Amino acid sequence: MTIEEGRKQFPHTWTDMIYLNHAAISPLPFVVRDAVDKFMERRALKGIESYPWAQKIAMRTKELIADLIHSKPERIAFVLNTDDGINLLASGIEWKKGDRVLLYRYEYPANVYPYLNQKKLHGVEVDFMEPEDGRITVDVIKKHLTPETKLLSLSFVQFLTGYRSDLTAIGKLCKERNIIFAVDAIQGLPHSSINVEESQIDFLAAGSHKWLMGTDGTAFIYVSEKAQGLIRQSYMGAASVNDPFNFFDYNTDRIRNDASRYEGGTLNFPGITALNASLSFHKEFGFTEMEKRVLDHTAYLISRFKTQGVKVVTPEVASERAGIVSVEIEHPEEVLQRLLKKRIIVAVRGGKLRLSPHFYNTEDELRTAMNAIFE
Amino acid sequence: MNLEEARKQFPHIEKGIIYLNHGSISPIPNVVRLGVDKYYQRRATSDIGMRPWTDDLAWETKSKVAAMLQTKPERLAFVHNTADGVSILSSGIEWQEGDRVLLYKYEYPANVYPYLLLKRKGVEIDYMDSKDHRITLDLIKSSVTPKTKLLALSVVQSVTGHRCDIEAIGKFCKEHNIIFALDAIQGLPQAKVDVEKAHVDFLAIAVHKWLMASEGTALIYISEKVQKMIYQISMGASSVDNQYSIFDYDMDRIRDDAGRYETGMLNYPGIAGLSASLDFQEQFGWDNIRNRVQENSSYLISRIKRHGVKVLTPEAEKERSGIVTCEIENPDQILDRLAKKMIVAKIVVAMGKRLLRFSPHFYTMEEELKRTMDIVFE
Repeated sequence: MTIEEGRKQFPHTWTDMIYLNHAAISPLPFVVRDAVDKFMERRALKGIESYPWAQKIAMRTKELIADLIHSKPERIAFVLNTDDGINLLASGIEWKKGDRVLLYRYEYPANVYPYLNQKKLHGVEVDFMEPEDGRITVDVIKKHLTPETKLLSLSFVQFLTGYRSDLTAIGKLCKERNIIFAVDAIQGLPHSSINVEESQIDFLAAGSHKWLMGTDGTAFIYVSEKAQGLIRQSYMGAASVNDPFNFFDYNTDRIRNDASRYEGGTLNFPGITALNASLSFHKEFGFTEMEKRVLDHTAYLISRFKTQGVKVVTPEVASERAGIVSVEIEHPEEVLQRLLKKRIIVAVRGGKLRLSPHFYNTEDELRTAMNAIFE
Repeated sequence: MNLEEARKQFPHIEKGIIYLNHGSISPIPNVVRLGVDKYYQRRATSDIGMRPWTDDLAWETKSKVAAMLQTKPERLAFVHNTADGVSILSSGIEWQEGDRVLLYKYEYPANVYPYLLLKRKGVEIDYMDSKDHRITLDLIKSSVTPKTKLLALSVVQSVTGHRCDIEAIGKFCKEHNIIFALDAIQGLPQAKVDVEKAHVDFLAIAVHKWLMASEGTALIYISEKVQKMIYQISMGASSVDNQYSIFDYDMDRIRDDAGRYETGMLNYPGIAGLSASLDFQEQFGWDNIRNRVQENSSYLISRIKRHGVKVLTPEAEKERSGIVTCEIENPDQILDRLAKKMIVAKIVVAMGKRLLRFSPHFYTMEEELKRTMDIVFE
C-alpha cells in the first residue's frame, strides 16, 4: 500500500484540514467505518445472535494485537478503556500498608488515579519522579526506587512531552528488583514497536481510539502469567468461566486460565471489529514503514522548531521519541486558535503546544503547519 | 408510528425470519445502524475531536434512560456490561465476615459471580428456589437471615420469565435494611421499573437485548445512599471534576454524581446506537410496547397450555413479561423444525432440563406466533 492509498482512508485529507492531534484522538479511517457498518448489518439480518461469530472476530483481533506486541492471544483481554484496564491491576494486587508505587509526575491521570485510589483504600504510597529534562531513564528510576517499591507504572510514550521510554532497560531493572512493571501503551502503539517478552512487561493497557485508529470504548490489556498470578480479581461475570453457557453451575473454580477471565460480560464487539479493521489496514501498510514515517515527521518538526529558537521539550534522539512533539512556545493558546482558523488541528497540554502527526500525514502538511506557526 | 412502520426497521422480517429470541439478543434496527454510522461519519470528518458533543450525547442518552427509570441522569453511569456494573457494587461494599447475599438459584451468572468472589472475604451466598418458579415476597421473607446484607435479583428471570414484584420486595428490603440490587436486562423497556417507588439501591442493565442496541454498552443506576456507602475500587481520568486540570491529581476532586464510576473513554458509538434505539421506541410508545409484549406472551402461554405442555412462566400478567418458557418433549427436534422454517427460538439448559424459550418483542405479530405454535405442535 502506498501512502497515497493510505491517505484515501481519511476523508478529512480531501478537504483543507490538516490534522495533527492523534495523541488526543484519531479520525476514523473508512475501513473502520465500513467494518462496523457491516457488523451492524450482520447483526440485523444474517447473524442476529452474534456471540459465536463475534467471538471469532475478537479472537482474530487478539491475534493481531499479540503479533504487534510479541505475545500470545491468550494473554490479551478486551476492556472498555485504558483506565479500566489499569484498575484491574491496581485493584487486584494484594497491597500491604507501606507498599510504594512509582510514577512519573506528569503521567496521564488514567495511570495515576488507579494508584492514588489504592493509597486511599490500602495505605499505598505513591512516589513521583520529576526529572528536569523530562527523560525517564533507568538512572532516574533507580534513584527513586525504595525497598518498598512494589510497582512501576509508566507510559511507553508520554502524552505531554512525547518522551519514549526504553522499556527493555527498565523492564530488566524491574525484574532484578522484583518490581511489577506496568505500561500504558496508548501513545506508542502501533507506530512504536513493543516486545512484552523481551522488555519483561508484566502488564500493559492501551485504548484504541488514538494512534491505533479504532473507536472510543475499546481497549485491551496484556497480562503476563506472572501478573495474573498476582491479581485477585474483583470483576467477574458470565463470560469469565470455561463452558460459559453452562450457566447455573456457579463455581469460581471454573474461571478461565487465560486472560479472558477478565472479560466478565458481553464485549464491545462492534468496537473490536473496528480495531480489527484498523489493525489490518496498518499491517497492510506495514508497521516498520509506519514507525519510520512517524519518526521522520517528528524529526522534521523538531528541527523546524529548533531553527526558530523555540524550546522543544521532546528529545531529539530518535529512540527517545515517537509521534508527539511538544514545545514551549509563547502564547500557545493563541497559536492554537490561529492554526484552527486555518483548519490545522493541534493541541495545548499543560501549557505546551503539542503536535502529533500520524503516518499518513505528509511533510507538505507539516511544512504548511510550521509556516502558519511562524508566519 | 404504527406497527407496520416499526416493523420496517427490521430487515430480517422481510426475509421471512421470525425472530423470537430477544431474551438472548435483539436484531439491530435500521435506526441504530444509521445512528452509529452517523456517529462515525462525524468522527471521521467534521468533529474528530469528539468533545463536547460526545459528552452531550452521553448526557442526553442518560436523560432518556433516567426518564424510563424515574430517576435523574446524575444517578446513572455508563459501563461495559452487566457484569462490570454489578462488580462496582459487589466490590465496593465493606463486607464483614458472615455477611450473607441472597440470590435466586437460576439467576443469570452476571448477577452471581461478582458475589461469589466475595467468599474469600467470608461472605456467604444463599440461593432461593421454589417449585412454582415464582420469586415472591414470601419466598424472600423465608430466605433472609439476620445476616442478609444484600438481595440481588433480575427484574425478569432469563430462564422462567418470572417478573418479580419489585415494589413489594423493595419495601421489604428497605424495612430490613437490605441492599436491593436489580439486573434489569430482561425487563426494560417492557416492564415498568420505578427505582424510587421500588426503593432500588442499585440497578444494572445492558442494552443489547430488549433495548435493541449493540453489545458493549450498559448502564448502572446507583442511589445516593449506596454511593455514599461503597468504596470505589476503580478510578480513572474521567472520575474527577474538571478533568482537564490534568496534573492536579487529587482524589477529593472525585465527581459527586454517578459519573465517578466512568473511569475513562466511553463507548460513544454504542451510546449513539442506544440513543437512536430509545428514540425509535419512544416514538412507538412505551405503553404500546409494554402492551404488545404482554399480549404476545399471553398468546404463547395460552397456546402452549392448550396442548397440555407445562409452562414455567407464570400466567398472571404482572408476573411475566417478554419471556415464555416451557418444558416440552424433544425440544431439540422442535428447535430444528422451527429453524428449518426460519423461526428462531432458544433452548435454555437449567434445572437439569432442556427448556424451550420464546421471547418475542413488541414488533412480533400474533400471526407470526401462531405460525410458530402451529409448527411446534404440528
